Amino acid sequence: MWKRFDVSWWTLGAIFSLGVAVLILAPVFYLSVRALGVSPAVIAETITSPETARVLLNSVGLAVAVVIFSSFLSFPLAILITKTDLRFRRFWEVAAAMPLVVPSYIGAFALIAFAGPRGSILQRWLAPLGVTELPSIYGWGGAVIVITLFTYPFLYLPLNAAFKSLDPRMFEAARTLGKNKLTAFFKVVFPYLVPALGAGSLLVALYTLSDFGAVSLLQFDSFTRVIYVEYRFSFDRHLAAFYSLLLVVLTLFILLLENWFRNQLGSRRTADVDARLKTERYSLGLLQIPAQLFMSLIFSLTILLPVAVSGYWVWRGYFSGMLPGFPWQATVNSLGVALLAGIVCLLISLPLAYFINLNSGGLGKLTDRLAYIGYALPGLVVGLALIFLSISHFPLLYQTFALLIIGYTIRFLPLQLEPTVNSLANLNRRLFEAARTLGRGEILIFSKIVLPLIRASLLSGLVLVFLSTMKELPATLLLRPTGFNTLATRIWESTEEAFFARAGLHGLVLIGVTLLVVGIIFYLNPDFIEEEKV
Amino acid sequence: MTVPVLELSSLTKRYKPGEPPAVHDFNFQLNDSEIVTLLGPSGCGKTTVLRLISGLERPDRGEIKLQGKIISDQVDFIIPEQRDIGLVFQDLALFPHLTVRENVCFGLDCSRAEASSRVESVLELVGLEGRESCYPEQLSGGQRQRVALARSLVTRPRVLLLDEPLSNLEEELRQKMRSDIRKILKESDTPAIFVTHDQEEALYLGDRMGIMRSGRLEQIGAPEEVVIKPETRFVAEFLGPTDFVPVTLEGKAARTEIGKLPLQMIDFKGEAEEYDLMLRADDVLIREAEGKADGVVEEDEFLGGLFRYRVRLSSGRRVHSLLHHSRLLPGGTPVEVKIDPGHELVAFPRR
Repeated sequence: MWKRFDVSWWTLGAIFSLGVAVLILAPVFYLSVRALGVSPAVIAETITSPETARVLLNSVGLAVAVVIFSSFLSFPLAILITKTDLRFRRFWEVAAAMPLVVPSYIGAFALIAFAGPRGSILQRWLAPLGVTELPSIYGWGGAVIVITLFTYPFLYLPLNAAFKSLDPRMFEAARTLGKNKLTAFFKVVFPYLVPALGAGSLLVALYTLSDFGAVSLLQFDSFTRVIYVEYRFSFDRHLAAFYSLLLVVLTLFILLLENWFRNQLGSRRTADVDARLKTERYSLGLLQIPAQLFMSLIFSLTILLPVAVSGYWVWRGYFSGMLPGFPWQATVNSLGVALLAGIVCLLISLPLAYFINLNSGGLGKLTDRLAYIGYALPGLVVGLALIFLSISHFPLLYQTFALLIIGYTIRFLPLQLEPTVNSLANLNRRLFEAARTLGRGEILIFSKIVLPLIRASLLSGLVLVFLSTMKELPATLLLRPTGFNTLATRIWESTEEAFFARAGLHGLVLIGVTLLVVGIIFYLNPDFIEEEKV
Repeated sequence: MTVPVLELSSLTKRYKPGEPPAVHDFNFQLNDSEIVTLLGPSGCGKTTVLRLISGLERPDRGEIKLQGKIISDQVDFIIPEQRDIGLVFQDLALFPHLTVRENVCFGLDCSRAEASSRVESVLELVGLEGRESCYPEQLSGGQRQRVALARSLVTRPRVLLLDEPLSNLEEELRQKMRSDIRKILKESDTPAIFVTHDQEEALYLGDRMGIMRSGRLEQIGAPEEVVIKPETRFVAEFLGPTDFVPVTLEGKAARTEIGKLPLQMIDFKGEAEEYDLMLRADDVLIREAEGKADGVVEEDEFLGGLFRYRVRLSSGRRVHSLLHHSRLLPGGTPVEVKIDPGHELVAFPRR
């Protein structure tokens, strides 16, 4: 796009981009080699085994169920917030997106510690009535509930945006053309929502398939849990590699579909400000009460319950002397790797984004696409692939921080790359040309024009990578050096061992630190939340 | 003989192979303190010429000399930041995150006292005192224009290029800005090339005016010369409205359907069998026919001070005539038509 670099710069850029592409692709490539590098008979046997069918059905079934339940939540939420006179709208609008900040394993912990069959809060309350065991929350039920509650915002957010951008005049035009309200809705409004609905649903499906924390704690045999168990407790790693490959094929397919829907989204025009101001809001009247209850229920389940349950167990632990001290080490570790991952992703993104923008065709586009594959790679698969690759080819890297950071980079680079590429692409290239005709060179242009103008996007990317790394569980679990714990691994292990006080404490710290970071950023840069998507 | 400030010879630029070149065999000279306007329909390559001069594009062929020194040819190519040529963009390209002063300072090292006094004087020159700490979005269209101009002028470029900088302004402001720009350029003694598609702007601003067509310079000269004596039929029509009537030779006279003219009154361009005489509305007089009529008034257009009549000649051809507004000839009036130019006319080969 900007034909300003000479050939040597271009070559450097190309080599760098190629390096990043190799970094991202190598683990998955090696995984495929491991998975397919056995005799065809073994492959055939694995594919046709009933176990494979069971895990596949479980995973797909879970994704479908979560998508359906998510839309049951997201539609009413988005309509109430954008189209009615719901009280405290501004608060609810933010609150409805907040579950994204809570990692699914904290949700699973909350469910287990609150309503688990034995030793949970509920069971203890009911004990005087002679209840010694509650019905199981493990398996299907628990997994669907927890994952829905913490991933539905991926659907709610685009749906909300689509409702907001809906030009009310479209609806009015349909009615002046002789359609009644219902027909007008289905002929005009609904088709307008389809891209958002499609892209959002697929994102929910993608995150459901990638989730490890909730399914492993709730003992639901979807791909990620089975892969982890196979890897940990079986001598033959082939099945783990093979299932990982199957999972990646599935997630890649979903990412492609999602991309298709998102492109459709881009081509939709949005209503101008005037039209939005005139948006008619339906008066809820007495329905205000059930609407408020509905909003409160979701907020309670997603935000209040995890905090309250954690608090309860910390409080109990404090009085029974079972509470460990403040987890300084894990907190520092979490913050450290998150910051490091954020900086690494930032440093890689900048030159990469420059190169992608310079080469709007061919190589640039390819690099762009390759980097986004990271979205489709579940953390568990990245971790496993890097372990396989390092053990067999780079033993010096095995169980090092470097490998851990590489894992985070593969997973989260797109979070930084996307805003960086977009903000660079949106810069008016006349600004560069103007600077050049004023006698200024590359370095000054970069520091005085590019950097200040894309600062907000860089920051939002940095925060996204930081927060995602803080929450990250499966890759951390697999790649961490021996004895290295983060808040995430601590919460997961403690829950597995039914050490609820410890899990609760680490959970509160994780949520607290996350909110603190978001708060500081928001305080320093009030416009920032606008761009943040989490 | 003095060396021209800027000299372009056989400059050619093609953006995509297979497409016609955006600039084709372009030759041009800019002299000291001179303002040249380049006028042409959209897509004629005006902007590309400026981008080639400023170094934002590299020509496929030809050379560019700045004060006698080659800055671009097949071998050498000086990059834009080292050319010392200013460019005011059509969309201005002000830095949105910098104040007026910071924008103007951008091309200078403003820590130096000398630079900062230069900024003051340029801001004064363009009339922006008091607005130094505003951001571009807080300024009106005309003020932004001035910032863009000041930003380029402050570095004392050897040539200033302006790419339709007034096209986004409303009419009234445009007229004021164009006279201000001319004054500022002349006061700062900066040679400039001003690209526009607005004829009035080109006529007003330019010491010379060039007409471009499909990447070539069709004609260049003093504005009145180009208007009255166009070299090609394209230029004649582009600076229209222009009518053509067939002209034939009869001994020492030239005959048209609306009267004879002495041969020396006509400048015949090119070699051809048959010619068309170019007529502008001010070259044609009409009056109500007393005897045999040459045509009929078809439409009258009131322009304020003048009336412009469209007359349908007996041959079916149409010519226009400008008359003082006291002479009212309603549509349908049969009229006598006479050519009364007061200057040499031009005839072009028949198409």
